[in-house]
Amino acid sequence: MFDGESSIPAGDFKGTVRDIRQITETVFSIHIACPVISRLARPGQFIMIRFPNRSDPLLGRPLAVSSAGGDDISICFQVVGKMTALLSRILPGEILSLRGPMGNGFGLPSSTMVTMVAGALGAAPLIFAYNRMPQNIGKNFILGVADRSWYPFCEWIKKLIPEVRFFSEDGIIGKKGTVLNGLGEELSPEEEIWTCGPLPMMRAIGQKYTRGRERIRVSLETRMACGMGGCQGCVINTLKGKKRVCVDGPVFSAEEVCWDDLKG
Amino acid sequence: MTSKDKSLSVNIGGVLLDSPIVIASGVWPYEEELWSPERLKGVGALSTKAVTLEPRIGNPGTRVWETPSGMLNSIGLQNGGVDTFIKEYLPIVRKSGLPFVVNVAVERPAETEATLKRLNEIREIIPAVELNVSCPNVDDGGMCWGLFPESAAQAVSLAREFWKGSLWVKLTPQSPDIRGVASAAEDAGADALVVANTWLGMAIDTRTARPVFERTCAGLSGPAVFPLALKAVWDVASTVNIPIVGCGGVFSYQDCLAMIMAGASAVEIGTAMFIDFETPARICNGLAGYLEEKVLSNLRELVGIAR
Ligand SMILES: Cc1cc2nc3c(=O)[nH]c(=O)nc-3n(C[C@H](O)[C@H](O)[C@H](O)COP(=O)(O)OP(=O)(O)OC[C@H]3O[C@@H](n4cnc5c(N)ncnc54)[C@H](O)[C@@H]3O)c2cc1C
Ligand SMILES: Cc1cc2nc3c(=O)[nH]c(=O)nc-3n(C[C@H](O)[C@H](O)[C@H](O)COP(=O)(O)O)c2cc1C
Ligand code: FES
Repeated sequence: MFDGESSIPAGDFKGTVRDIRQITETVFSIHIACPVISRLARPGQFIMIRFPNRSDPLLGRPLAVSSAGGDDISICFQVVGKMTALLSRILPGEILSLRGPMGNGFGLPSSTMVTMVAGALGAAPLIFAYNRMPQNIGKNFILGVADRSWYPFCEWIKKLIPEVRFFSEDGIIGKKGTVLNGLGEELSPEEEIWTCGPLPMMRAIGQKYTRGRERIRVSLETRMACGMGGCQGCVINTLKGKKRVCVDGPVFSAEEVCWDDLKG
Repeated sequence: MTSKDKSLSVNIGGVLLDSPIVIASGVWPYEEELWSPERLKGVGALSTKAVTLEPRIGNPGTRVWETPSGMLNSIGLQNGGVDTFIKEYLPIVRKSGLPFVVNVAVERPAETEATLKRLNEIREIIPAVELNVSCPNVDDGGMCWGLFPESAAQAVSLAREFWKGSLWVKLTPQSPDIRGVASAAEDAGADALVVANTWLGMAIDTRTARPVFERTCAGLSGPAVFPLALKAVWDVASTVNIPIVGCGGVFSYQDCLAMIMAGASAVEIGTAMFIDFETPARICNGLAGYLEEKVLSNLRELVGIAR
């Protein structure tokens, strides 16, 4: 079973925005120069991002690292509220505060083939995982989106991951259906699934297979305040008791998560 | 400035602190790396997460929610119980080499008594107990003890009987008579007062048209409460002679100075640690700079000067 090591953030760092790119009406990607985090970040880890010297919004927001190289990391996000709206209007040269990198991350595969399954922005950590996958491991990438408004996002992903397969609910992009249609009926012993996206999608994947659940790694999302394991605001129920998504996760084995206790 | 610079040292109820910055209860996890001196620059002492007699799993549902310049929490005293604390966490806490206070949530008298007896057995290694008569997030006891002078006196007397070390009492700002409660705590044997815990607030999820928190109400902290906490310190300082630790929304050295000028001798910081690990060091630098500018030799000279 996947049992990633918990990891507290190395510290709070300043990051300088290199560039910002608008991908769809509501999705943006930002490159940030932050050497320490870039050096330390592993796939599946995230940062808590905020504006220094601003008390509203106050708390950092968790965003996955979608790439790291040289001095830079990148993030991509959808505008859903206060912080993401402000981030979408940021300009190159502006300074952000980054706490991280944190969380256990996806770790190393224990099989020879990894199928990465993303729902919309859940692609962010998986892009990083895909690019850092050890050479001897086979890999698939499946992305599910709602409708045609995600077309530019899918185009953008395709440039990063040429062999990606798409599913959309309206069938305009890729095949009609959800990512579940892209998964086999059984999970072969050589294969594992890494997934990130909306909770209903991950729950469905986590509960799809009666055998092999321990080979499914899910990256969960909860509300967070501190991102360092202190507030216990982000806890979920697992078979091994309460765990904090920020430092004990965000990646858990599907077998371990008490799915019925998760809301959403 | 370094933490060995004595100009910022204070004595809170017999506990000697090199800096007036105490990390508040419930914000600092027991991850070992976080208790190393490098991660605690500028910190004078730490308060542990609340300890209860038996383990508690805490509250279900949403536990944290941001508000304008603040946050609500409804954690519900999740902790492993006093025995786990002593066995597993106390060794980590002691590694920092800094003074610490064990935050004890007041439960029913028999439970509180048992918890304090356990701690009292190892009194020589515990600098102080912070009696929490102010937790807003549980049904049994918690904040109720701190609402009125009579119940506060009862809780503090009980603690005084079974805990022989330094006793800090953390008040609730929800009391309609915080001065009365403060006096009652002092009379019952408190060595210092922490003013204060979180304010009761709530949030409604407009999508579901339901309160965000299962227990409806939750505790408000962060910069939003600072002026309220400052007033509570001001009020209590007019009533008691024991040292006061100001708590609520302290983020900057100016906030810390204001608390001290109102009558506090030190401050606790909670939410600020969620957004900047460097907060204690930053505040200490600011304080040291202020003392230098005003040609003062010790922060103590500023306690209550705004009065
Ligand atoms: C480990 C982790 C990694 C993540 N990685 C990514 C990522 O890579 N990319 C990404 O886009 N997202 C990611 N997220 C999600 C991201 O953290 C959130 O989208 C972000 O915190 C939103 O912040 P905000 O300030 O914009 O929204 P907020 O203002 O905090 O609001 C969040 C949501 O709550 C709603 N809301 C706020 N107040 C109320 C109310 N009173 N009633 C009802 N609804 C309300 C808002 O409408 C919004 O939908 C990740 C989350 C986690 C935990
Ligand atoms: C997530 C969280 C957990 C807390 N847990 C406790 C606790 O266990 N015991 C306690 O006395 N206070 C607890 N508090 C209250 C803080 O110690 C502090 O009194 C309060 O947050 C106000 O200070 P601040 O504005 O600096 O955060 C908690 C606060 C937060 C935000
Ligand atoms: S966000 Fe505070 S413990 Fe996870």
